[in-house]
Amino acid sequence: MTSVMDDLVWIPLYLDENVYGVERSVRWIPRADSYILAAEID
Amino acid sequence: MTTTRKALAGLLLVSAGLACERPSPVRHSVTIAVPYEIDTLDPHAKDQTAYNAIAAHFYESLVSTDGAMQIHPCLATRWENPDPLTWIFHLRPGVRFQNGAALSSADVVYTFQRLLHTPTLQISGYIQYVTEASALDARTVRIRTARPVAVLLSKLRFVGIVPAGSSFSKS
Repeated sequence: MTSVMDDLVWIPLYLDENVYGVERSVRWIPRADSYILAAEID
Repeated sequence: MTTTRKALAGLLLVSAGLACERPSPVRHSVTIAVPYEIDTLDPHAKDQTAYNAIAAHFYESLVSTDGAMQIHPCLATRWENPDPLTWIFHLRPGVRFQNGAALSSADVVYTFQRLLHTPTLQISGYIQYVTEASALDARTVRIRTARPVAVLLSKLRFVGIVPAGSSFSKS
């Protein structure tokens, strides 16, 4: 998000707050762009 | 199970072959519920998180971003700016599309030409100042811009490269 803010690729109009439910056996870190990418799920 | 969820159940299978992600053997299928539905798999048709997030499982860009939005090489392993209006991208060797065709400069040029000549494709907004894409050789692409675009890499992460000659119909 720091890079996005510095470069202003996007101009944020609002702060979108996402809440995820993840099973304990799944290792996954939410992304700043809200994408859920299967390749990033262990 | 909705159509989207059914589609996503298979995403792990196809994502195992992505070039800029960590390769891993296919062992399981996983169902991912997402809060959106899409009506096309054309990676250039819509510029909305829902479409971009799904398309990112099937199409890759010259560069990608990690979860913290840092730029990383993807289909391009490196790039340079010989001048402020010119970008030279060197393509990753050994990359194949899911149809088996090898990635080449022609695919990148085709992708940019498609966007340059089809302004109704919403992703074309990310190449607003790109004036030309040309192949210097089979694995080197030159992109020229009308003015210096410091954030071009951040924009190109949204431009999924499609095989030359691809056409899409809204489903």
